[in-house]
Amino acid sequence: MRKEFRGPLTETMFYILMALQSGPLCGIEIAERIEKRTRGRIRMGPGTLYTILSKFAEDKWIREIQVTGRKRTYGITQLGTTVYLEEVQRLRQCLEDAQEEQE
Amino acid sequence: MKRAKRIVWKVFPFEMYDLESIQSWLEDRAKEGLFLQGFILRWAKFTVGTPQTIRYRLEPAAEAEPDKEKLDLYAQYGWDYVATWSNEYYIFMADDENARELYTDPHTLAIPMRKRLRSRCFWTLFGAVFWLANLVGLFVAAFWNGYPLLNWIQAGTIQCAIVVILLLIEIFSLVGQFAHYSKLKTSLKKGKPIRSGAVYGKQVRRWYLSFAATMILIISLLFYPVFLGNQETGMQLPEYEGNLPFLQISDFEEEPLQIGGFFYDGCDQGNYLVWQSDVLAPKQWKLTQLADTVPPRADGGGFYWVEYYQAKSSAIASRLGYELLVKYPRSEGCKEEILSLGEDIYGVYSQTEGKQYLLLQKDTQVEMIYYNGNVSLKPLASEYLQAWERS
Repeated sequence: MRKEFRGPLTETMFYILMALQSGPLCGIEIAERIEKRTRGRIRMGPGTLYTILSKFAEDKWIREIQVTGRKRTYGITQLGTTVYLEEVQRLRQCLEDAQEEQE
Repeated sequence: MKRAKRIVWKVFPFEMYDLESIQSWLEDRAKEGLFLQGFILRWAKFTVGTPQTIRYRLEPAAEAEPDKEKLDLYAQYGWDYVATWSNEYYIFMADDENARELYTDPHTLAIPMRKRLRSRCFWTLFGAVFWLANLVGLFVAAFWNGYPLLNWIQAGTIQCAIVVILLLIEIFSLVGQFAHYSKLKTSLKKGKPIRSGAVYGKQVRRWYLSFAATMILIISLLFYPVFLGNQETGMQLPEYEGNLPFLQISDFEEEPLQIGGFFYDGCDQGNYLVWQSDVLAPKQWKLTQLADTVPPRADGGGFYWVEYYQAKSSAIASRLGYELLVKYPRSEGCKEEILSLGEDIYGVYSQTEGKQYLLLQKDTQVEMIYYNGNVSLKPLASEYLQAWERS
């Protein structure tokens, strides 16, 4: 049973789940991918990155795939994917609402 | 980075909630050429080197040291682990001004801090309530039997004041800490970043003041009896050679001794005199005197008890007189009368079933006499007042 999802993800949380959609990555690769994806808008600090990865692993949204020396590679779980897709749907709905409001 | 090995120790004058001040204080020390190495209790150890701009950041500590994975990740971003303070925070430093901020999303700092701050809030509040309950308990206990001032001067005004001040400082300090922890919790939850370059002079002064006050109060409390000697002193009445400011049984024994009357036989047991001093009542005397009967009885004779106070002011003496009347409850149906002994002299005499009470108060002096003998105390009131002049 997945834990009940308690509301919108923060931007950094959302982008970490997004980065892991393409396959397993280590911490630095996640940060680099996000920076590239957001064209440098989000430059994630190591404290933020480590804290979110620890929390996601604790919530079983991601899991360690491989440990090579000090390098840990994380992959997204089914639960993490569900949470990510729910968030995508929520954001899409927000966008549609905003567009309707403008028309 | 080459640094000299000279060591400097400095007091670390901050509370745990004050992240901004701690970071800024460490950064300013680095600009002075002092680089943090570690802590021993409240002492921070620095090595001396070339002044440098360094950023310090704190994050809540889960264990004694951060795990290797974290150290490695942080190091790749230019952040090095320096020390753990009091098992509360890991302290990291970056000497590269381009190293990206440790927590770019302040919301995420709230995650590891949440549990710690909740626990801190609970314990500071619990502590404040606990000490407040102690303070209230002390006052309730003092007022419970109806003579709080007597209890107060018996315990010692300065000692009591120290305890009350100590408790108030503790309570206000804990309430203040609770407010700061709550504020930090809310601020992190809202995503407000921990600022750098905070002005911390006021916090440092407050910490030193609070620390000094607590130390002085604790030391005063521990050593007060040694330095100021507000202790009860006593001895057997026959050994006392000075003048007493009140009468004793031998002063009003009738000659020849009446059958059934009480007399003081000078025995060592039960004829005990104690005295002490207090700010509100510099002279306090108590005399417990056992008397024998004529002829001697198997039940041990009778009892004479005196409490004499010379207070700092007539208002205090007046209050003590009132409380002494509360302290020595007269039995139902006793005959109580106000004595006319002169201007500014208050006298109360009561008698029932062989027990007599005489309360006298004039200016700063007050005395309560309890006697269960058959010599009437009432006509002796003026003699008691004269005896006050002897001391």
